[in-house]
Formats: sequence, C-alpha cells, structure tokens
Amino acid sequence: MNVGPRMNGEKLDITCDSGPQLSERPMGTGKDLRISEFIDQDDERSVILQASQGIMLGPSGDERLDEALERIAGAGVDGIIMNRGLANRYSRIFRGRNSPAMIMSLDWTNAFRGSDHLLPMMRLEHLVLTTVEDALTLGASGVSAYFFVGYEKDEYEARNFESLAAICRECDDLEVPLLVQAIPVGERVVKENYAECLALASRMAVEAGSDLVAVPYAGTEGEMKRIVTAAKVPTLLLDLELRLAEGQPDLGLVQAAGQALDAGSSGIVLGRRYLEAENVVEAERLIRLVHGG
Amino acid sequence: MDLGQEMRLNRIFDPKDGRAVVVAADHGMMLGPISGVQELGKTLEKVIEGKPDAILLSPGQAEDLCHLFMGRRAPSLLVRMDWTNAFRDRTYTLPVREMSFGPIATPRDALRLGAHAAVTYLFIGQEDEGQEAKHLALVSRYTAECARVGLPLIVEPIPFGPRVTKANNSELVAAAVRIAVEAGANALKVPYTGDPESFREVVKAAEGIPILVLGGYRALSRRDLLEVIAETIEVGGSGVVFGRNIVQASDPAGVLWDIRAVVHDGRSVREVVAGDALAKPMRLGVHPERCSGCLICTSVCSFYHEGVHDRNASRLRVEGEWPGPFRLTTCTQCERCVAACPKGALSRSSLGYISWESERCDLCGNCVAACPLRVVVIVDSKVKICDLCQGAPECVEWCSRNALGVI
Amino acid sequence: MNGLRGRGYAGRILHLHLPKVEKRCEELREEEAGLFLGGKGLGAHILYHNLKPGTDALSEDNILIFATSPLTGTIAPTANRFCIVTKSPLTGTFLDSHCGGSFGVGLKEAGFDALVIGGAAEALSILVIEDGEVDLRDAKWLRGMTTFETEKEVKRALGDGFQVACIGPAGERRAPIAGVFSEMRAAGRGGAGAVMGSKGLKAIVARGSESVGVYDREAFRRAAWIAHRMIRMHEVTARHLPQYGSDNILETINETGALPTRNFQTGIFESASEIAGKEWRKELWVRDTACGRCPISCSKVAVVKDGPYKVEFTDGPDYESIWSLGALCGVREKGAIARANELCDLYGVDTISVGNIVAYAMECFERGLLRKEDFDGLEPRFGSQEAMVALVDRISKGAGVGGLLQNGVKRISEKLSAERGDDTYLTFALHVKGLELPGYDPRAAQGMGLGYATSDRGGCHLRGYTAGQELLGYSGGANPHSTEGKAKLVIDRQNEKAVLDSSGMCFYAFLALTLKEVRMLVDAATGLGYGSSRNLERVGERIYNLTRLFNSREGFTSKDDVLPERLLREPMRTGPARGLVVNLEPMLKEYYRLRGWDEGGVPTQEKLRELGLA
Repeated sequence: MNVGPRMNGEKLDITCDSGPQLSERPMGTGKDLRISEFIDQDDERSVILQASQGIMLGPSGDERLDEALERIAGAGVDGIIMNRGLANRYSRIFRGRNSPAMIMSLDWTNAFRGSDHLLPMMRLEHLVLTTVEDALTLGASGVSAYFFVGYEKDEYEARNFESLAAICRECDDLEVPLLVQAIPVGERVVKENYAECLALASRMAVEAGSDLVAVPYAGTEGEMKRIVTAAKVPTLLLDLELRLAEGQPDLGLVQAAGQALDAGSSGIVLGRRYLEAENVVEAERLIRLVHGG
Repeated sequence: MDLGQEMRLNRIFDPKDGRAVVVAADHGMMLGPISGVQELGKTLEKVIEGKPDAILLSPGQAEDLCHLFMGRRAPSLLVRMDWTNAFRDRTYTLPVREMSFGPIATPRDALRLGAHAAVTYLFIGQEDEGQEAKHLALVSRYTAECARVGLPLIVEPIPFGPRVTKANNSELVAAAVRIAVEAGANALKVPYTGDPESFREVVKAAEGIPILVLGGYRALSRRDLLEVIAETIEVGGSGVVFGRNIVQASDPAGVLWDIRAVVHDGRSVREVVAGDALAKPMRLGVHPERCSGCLICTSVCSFYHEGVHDRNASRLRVEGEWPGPFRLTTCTQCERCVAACPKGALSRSSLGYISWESERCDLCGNCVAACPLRVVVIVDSKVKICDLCQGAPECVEWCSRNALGVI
Repeated sequence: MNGLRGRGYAGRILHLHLPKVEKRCEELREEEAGLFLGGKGLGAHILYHNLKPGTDALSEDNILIFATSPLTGTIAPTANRFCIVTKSPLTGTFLDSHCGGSFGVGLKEAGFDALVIGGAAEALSILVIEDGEVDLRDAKWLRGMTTFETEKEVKRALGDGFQVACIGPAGERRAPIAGVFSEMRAAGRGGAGAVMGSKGLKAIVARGSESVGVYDREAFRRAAWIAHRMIRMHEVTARHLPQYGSDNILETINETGALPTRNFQTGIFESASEIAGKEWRKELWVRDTACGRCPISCSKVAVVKDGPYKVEFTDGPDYESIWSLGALCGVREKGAIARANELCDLYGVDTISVGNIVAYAMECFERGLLRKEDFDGLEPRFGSQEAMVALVDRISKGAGVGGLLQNGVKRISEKLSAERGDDTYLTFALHVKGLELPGYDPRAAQGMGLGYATSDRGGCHLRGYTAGQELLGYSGGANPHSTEGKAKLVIDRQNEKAVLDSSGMCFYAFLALTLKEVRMLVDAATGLGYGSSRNLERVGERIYNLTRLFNSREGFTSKDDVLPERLLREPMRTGPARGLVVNLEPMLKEYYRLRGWDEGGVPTQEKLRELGLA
C-alpha cells in the first residue's frame, strides 16, 4: 500500500489515481470565523487576558496557575494569550464552545524586564519563537506579536517590522487572525511625543496587515480617538503593568478603559495581575464595562 | 491525538457529556439541489435556531456561509474533503452505475476555512479491491496530514457495493469501523445497523473513538427517529449526524430540540414525544380513510395482551373486504362497560385506562352488551377490554398509515 | 402434542389424496424445518420426494402444495404470505408461486403448515378445512364465477372468518397461464391455477381457532418492532411504494433504456410518462390497500369513470401489469390497461404472460406472419388499445383465438412454427423455459439476463433481481452493461430470495431489511437457533440447489439456461444500451462455477453433501 511521503513542508499529494494534483484553494474565510471566537458577535468587543509573560519574566506569585486560569475564564474573558508551552499544559480551560479562545503568543522580548527585575533589560531584544503554522496546529484561534517603536538603533525597528510583515503574510496564508501589541519603548519616547509614537506604531502594524491592534493608553481621550480612527481595525486598550518608556502616561486601568471605550475602542487586553485572586473582582468589573450588563 | 485536534474536537463534542448533535448539509455536492439544500443559507438559519453542535458543509458552501458560524456560541464547522456518486439512487438524477469517489479538498483548505474538523468517506465492499486499497491509502494520507495540522478527521466508513450482501451487512459496518480507527480516524460517522445489539458490536470495534450515528432518509415518524438515537446512546454511541431528517423538515429547530433533549439532556423518548400528554387522560382517535386494511393493529393488540396472534381477541375491529373502504372501530373510553358491570370487575384509572379483574368477574356478559361499538369481547373466558396499553397504545404505535392516533 | 406447534409453526402437514377425503397428518419435524424453513423450501422438499419425474403437470398424478412459513400470520411485517408449489403446466419446471392473500393464515389457524394434494376430485369441488377437519363439497354453483365473485359467495355461504384460495374460469378450463387468487391477490405465474383446476378444485377454504404463537414473545416483539421500524424509515418502503405503488420505478427503468417496448423491440417507450405511477395516482387511484400485516401498502385500487373502458374497481395495477399490458404492447391509455388488468384478475390469469402473448400476437400481425382472419377479424397493431383489450378479453375467457393464445408464448410459437415450417415464429417469442419475460430488458441490465436464464421457474425477475443495483442505483449501483461480477450478484440475490420465500415475507420488505432482521424474527418465532445471517443464507442456497435438482431430474439441462434469440442476437436500437445484446455465456460459466455446479449446470455431489442434500 502506497501511503505517500510524510509531509515536511512538501505539498501534500492528495490524489486517488494519477489524476491532477489538487492545488490549494486561493481564498478562505477562516480568519473571520476565528476572530469571531474572541470578539463578541453582538457588541463587537473583546476582553483578553495576557498570560504569556511568564516566558519573559518568570513566575508571578505562588498562585496555582490552573486555578487562576479557571477563575479568569469563569469571569468571562473572551480570549487568553498564552505561549505554546503553557497552552500544552493548561489546554483544559479552552475546551468546549463556552470557554475562552486560545490566542498564541509568537514572540519573546526582554522589553518587560524593568529595572527591578532579576535580569533587567540592557538592550532591547525581540525574536519569534513560534510560527503561525505551529499555533494553528495547536488549535489557536489567533496569534499575538509585539511591535515596538523607539529602539535606540533604527535597525532594530526595521527588523521588528520585517518579522511582523512575515508573520502577517503567514497569517493571511493560513487564515489566522493576528493581534499586534504596538508599544512605544525606550528613552527616545518622551511625554511630548508619546501619542505620536503610539500612532506610528499602531499605524505601521495595521499597514503590515494585522487584524487587531492593542495599544497602551495614549494620554487623553482625544489622542485615543485619533489612534482608534486611524487604525481601521478593531483596537483594544493594552494594560501595561510596567513603565516601558519615559513618556508613558500614568492612569488607572479602569479610568483609561472608560475613556478608551468612549473613544471607540473595542475592548481591553488585561495584564497578568488579573490572574491573582484579589484582582478578579476588578476583572469582572472591567468585563462588564466592556460588554455592558 | 495532539493538542490542536483535541481542542477542535472539543468544540464539536460537548466536554460535559462527550456527545454531539451534528447536522449534515453537504448533500448538494453529492445529490444536487435537493429540497432543503436548495437555499441552504435560509435553511441553515432555521437549523441554527435548534442549536446543533456542528454543521457539515462542502468547501464551497463553507466559504459562502461562513457568517453563520461566527461567534463562540455558533455551531462548529465541519468541512467535507471528498465526493462520491454512491448515494445517487433512482430518487435522484443519473442513478449510480459504477461507484466512484475522489478528493476535492485538503485538510489545509479546511483549516483555512476555519473548520473544526474534516470529514471523509471510507467505502468498503466494492467489486474492485484495488479501489478499496486506493481509498484506504487516501484516508491514510488524510489522517497523516490532519494530524500534522491539528485538525481532527471524522471518517464515515460505509459498506457499499456488490460485495455487501443482505447476509454480511452489519458485520461489515463493524469491520469498516475498525479499519477506519486503525487508519487514524479521530471520530466516526456510521450508519445504524438497525438494532442496539448489533450496534454495540460496532461501538466495541471503535475502541473508544467517538461514534456519531448517521440518519439517512427522512423518517416519517419523530418517535422512530428519536428511538433510534436513544438506542445508539444506550450502547455507547456519542451522538448523531442527521441530514435530510433535519434540513428537509418543516421545523428543523423543533426536530433538533427533541434530538438534543435525548442526546444531551438524557430525556426519554417517550417523554420527549408525548410531552405532557402523558399526564392527561387519553382516548383513541381514528382516520378511517387512511386505513389500508392491513390488520397490523388487531394483530399487535392480541399479541401484546395475549402473546399470540388472534384477531378475535383484539380490542379493536377492522371490517371490510377488498377493495375497501375499511371500517375501523376502536374503544372510545365511553365507560358504559364499567357502569354496566354488576360486580365491579371493571374499573377506570385516573388517566382513563380501563382494567378488568378476573376474580370479581362471573362472565355475565353485561359489558359486552353495553358496549355500543361491540369492541368488548369475551374469548376463552376472559373479558377483552381496551386498556390503552397503559398509556402507549400498541395499535397506534404500529400503524404505519397514521390511521390511529391518541387524542 | 407436537414440538413445533406454537413456535410460529402449526407443526403438522395435511396430506390428501383426492377424491378421498381421508386426511393423513404428518408431523413437521424440527430437522426438516431447520433445513428448509417453510414456504418454498418446505414445498420443494415435499415435492421433490413425492413427485415422480416426468409426470404430466395437469394429470391427477401431479402434486399441488400450499405451503405457509413460520412467520405467516405473525406481526412480522408483510408476514401474510403463502405459496403454491407444484410442477408447472406452462414450463414443466419446478414452480413456486407466491400470494399475499390471507389463505395461508387460515390454513395455519386450521392447524396445518402445509396442504399437500394428490389425485383429483371427480367433479368441480370446494375443499373445506376447519380446525383440523376436512370436507370436500360440490362446487357446481361456483362454476364459471370470477375470482372476485367466488370469494365473496363462498364467504357468504360458509360464514365469517374463512380464508379463501380460488381459481377463475381460466383455471377451471386449465389454461396453463391461470393463477390462484386469495383476497384478489394473485399467485399468478406458471399456471398453478390450471393444476388446481385439473384437480377439480374451484376453491379451498380454511378457518380455525389455533392462534399463531411464537417461541420467545419478548424477543419476537422486539424483532418485529425493529423490522417494522426499518421499513418505516426507508425511503422506498416509506415513501415511493405507498405513494406510487410498484409503478414508482417505471420512468427510471425507461430512462435506463430497460423498459421492454413492443415485444422487446426496444427498451424505451415514448409514452412512458403517461403510465408512470404519478399519473395513476393523479387520475385513477382512489385508495391504498395492503396485504395482511403489511405496513407498506404498495397496492392501490383503480377506478375508471370515463373513456371507452370503465372499471368499477381493480387492484393496482402493479408495475409488471402496467408494463406488460401497456409499454410491451405499445399502449399508453391507462383506462385500457386498467380494464385489461381487471379481466385478467377476474378470469384468473397471469398479467405478465397475457401481456407477452398480446405483444407476440401484435408482432406476428405487423410482420404479416398472421392476418386478421387469424384473430377473429381483429387487427392487433402495437399501440392499439382496442386490439389489446379485445385480445385480453379473448385470452382470459379462452374465447375465439383466445383458445390458442391462452397456452402461452412458447406453445403458440412452437405450434405456428411447426404448422408453417418456419422458424421465424420462434425468434421473437420472449420466454425462458416457457415462462414469459417480465419488465426489464436484460440487454440494458446484463445481470437480469443471467437471472432469467437461471431462475428455477423459468423467465422470472424476482429470483436474481439485480435490477435494483444495475438500474435503480441501490447499494452503490452496479454497471448494467458489464458482465463482470454479475454471477455473484445473481447468486446472492437468488439465495436471499429463497430464504425470503420460505419465511413468509414479501420482496418489498426486503428492500429495507437485511437477513439479520429475518433471522432475528425466525429465531425468536421458532427457536430453531439459526444464530447468524450466514446460516440462514445457507438455507437459501440449499433450497436453490434442491429446485435445481428437481429441474435436472425433469430433464432440463444447461441448454435450457438460455435466453430468447432477440436478446442474444438483436442489438438494442436506442437508449443507453444501444448496440448491446446479452453476453450470457461468460456469466453463465461463472455462475455454474461459483454455485459449485458442474459445467452442465448440475450440482456436484460434493456441493450436495455440503448442503445436506446428498
């Protein structure tokens, strides 16, 4: 019995006889379907929990992660961002149609290692660990990647953008929605140019082909509005738990969320502190704020 | 099975009970624009109101109708990878003369359409064993690719062809299931073998791989449909894939509600079909113009009560000779017999079931005389009285003409 | 008391040698029942062991058997049937002719699984069987009555509850195409009615108080429920048949080029759509009826109110009758077809044979081989409803040219050929071994050709029915124009049918069921412990070999496993089968081989030993 070659990037030989090779269909609708798994169809908004920083920062607290994940899933988040190792271990919380969607984080960076971290960042590094194809194979509904502006060396921004573009191409090819977290970082970003840098980062991500963009608070509602309008794709407020840039505005998440929603944004990406038991009440409050009721 | 396949399978089979209610709507590719499939979008909107766990479509339709699958609460999407002419019997144009099948999409295509599983046939029993081998090879390639991309593969093993006879049919279903499982199927879609005992063998052959029973032609009776489903669940089946029974129904959502009640809520068929009618007094009703004179009702009446086939002992009567018309007379629960009994041997329960106590009876025959319809008879020193079979009248259950019913 | 009684069976066989009425009751033994089941099998077993080879079928030495099956009279679906087993006066072969009327139920309730009649009554009589007792009474008052009147009058005279098997005037005059009727259902093929007539029996009636019991009530109820349910859930038995009767297939058969038209001159009838089931339902059918215990109700009642042929009511007609009196004769008028069907039923003849005879006559006339003087002044052209009805009238009454024509296409063609020294008459006589061919042209379905050639009673479609797969696309279809694999298909279908014919159930039930359900029913009813479908299939194989032995003993050889000239030599002119003839030889060779018969088509000793027949 001729089973055919094992696939390793080779084109699959799906033929019955010596008939013509089946070529792949040019179009697909997978992106729309997958995005709808974490964007509520009624209000077109989303609350996503960022749970992928462990790979970048190390553990947070001695909380049992499976209990924490169940708790936040129970609170009603629409999606959870995870890297692949965690997804493998804690897949149970994604099972079934009422569970949050799994969004797989593709990249690694040391940008979040602040000055009080064990190994504080000395030079910004960013690399891609997981391919879009891997994420899809593992059952992800979407993928997430970072895009930074404000690098000391322009070359780093270029490389970040290049890898982002490659990810976008792969996402289009495989019909996987891409969420880009667009963040101004570093000393070149100051209070006066923060909003502009943010607008730049956001716009570049969108032009590269991302399907959703998450941005930190821009400073004023007006600035948020400008960014949201310019984005043309759903824009979420990103909960940054650290100061990553000189000029990063400082406002409590609840207030910032209120302004962002008024400005037309589509929801929030919650930071990983919402995995902690003491923060679940606030998480629920924020979810109600986004989805109403 | 790896993470992706497991995640996606769990969007089809409810993790709470491991079962699924799936609607197949891929007939258009196999049979043409049959009714229900003709304006598929409209039909599926009605279907979705019944909350199926998943819907099976051909790739073209999956693309056009993707909006129906948006959102987590929407049904999951299954996409068919292959095509066959095997089911085109004389009900459809160009009845099949030589069975053939072939691939029309790849697992990657399915993934790009956002599918949660791919579906493919596996035919066993063709004349040309070379064809069978080729088909198995094709399915194996599918399972390999599906595993690689994290998409579960649902295989539909079907005994079909000249080597399938009336003698080996249900054994072949079990064998075909086994072959599909060993080829790497993650779930199975299988025809019912007709009775639970033989289906249990099929479930055993699957060794834990979930089996969805498929429903072919449109059943005329909701009760039959649900009964078949309940039987498969009882012997270890994991749900259903019904096609024409749902897309061609006038009330697809209603049918689905009932199916879900049986599959996911564990309700009994009787409960679902009769509903609250079981709690009310009932009477028999007749549509004599539908009676074909087959006498099944009188036969089952005596068989149910006496264990032998004796038309004279039947509690209902069919009169008339060919060419008809036939006169159908049943008890109307008027209770004149109860009133006429001097010994109190006849009594009526709160739901209208009349019963006879032999110890009190002296066979005086007053009940027979009192019955205006002459459906009370005494045979072999026993009074034969219509007791509505304690709530599920046999004559009604067995009549294929809907000439008898319960009011 | 008897071991099999109450286990589906009555446990006894009634032997009579007329004109004496002393009954000889033989126990039906479990061993016999296990080997042959009932119906066709039981009848074949009795006939083979009791009939002298070479017996004239219409002499008093022929044996006439009425056989029921263990399921007859139970709630198994369609389990009403009985069969008549005898030597056929039309073909000289083994004959089993089946009927959906309730006579068999009456016979069993009277205490007998089978009735075996030898000898003959001295005058036209009616045989009365009641609760184990037998009486032979004068039936002068029934002479000349139609089948319908006979049954009605007999029931009126004798009282409630009697089941009747009777013959019409054609049977009385021993026309070899006469059938036996019960509740106006026909045991039509092969001339059983003539044998009954030759024994001086106008009618046989039976009544009794033995209710049919079963071995395991609970299991039987479940098996019967499952079988009924499968029939209710199957497209053909739940929709096509009840809606359009057996005629539901006519247009498809036509589209596949297999509808024999104008004496098998072609396979496509230009007016097929006018005689399709839909049209009958629209215009002529007033009611659905069913044989006893049948949930399918393929039968209809037709009433013709307008037109030259008024019919008060007639049964169906079914596909074969509509085809043989319609397309085969080129006739498209439903009223005429209904009227011809009525005549056949009332006078008691087989519609398939009659249609073929009329078509043969029409071809003779159109080819100038016979003239209107030969036809009492009629001009039988294809398509003429007047000629068709007039000829059917004469044939069913044996009047005028009907006296010759009622003998069947084989005898007619051989007589004409001998008288005129011209073999041409033989080349368009469409029969196998004397039994006229049914409504499937085998040039468009090769397997049917093999089926006709090897059927144990002559040209019959029901044994070896491959048309389901070849033309109707059932079960994955089969290429109708290929001969490959057809031998196996035919053998499987023949064996299955033999089981069915011995179990009391109908061909149509078997469209929805498999042998598994039949086996479940039989085991639960009888406790004989077949255990598997395969074991039951064995019984079918055994029966088919036994009937083959019978025919061999009567002198039939592989030379008789043949098809008419037209089908072997004249390529089909139109339609999907254009240019094809039946390629019988390779199929036949393969058939003998797979059956375990020698090259002459005789079951080998080894095969017979394997089946317990040697």
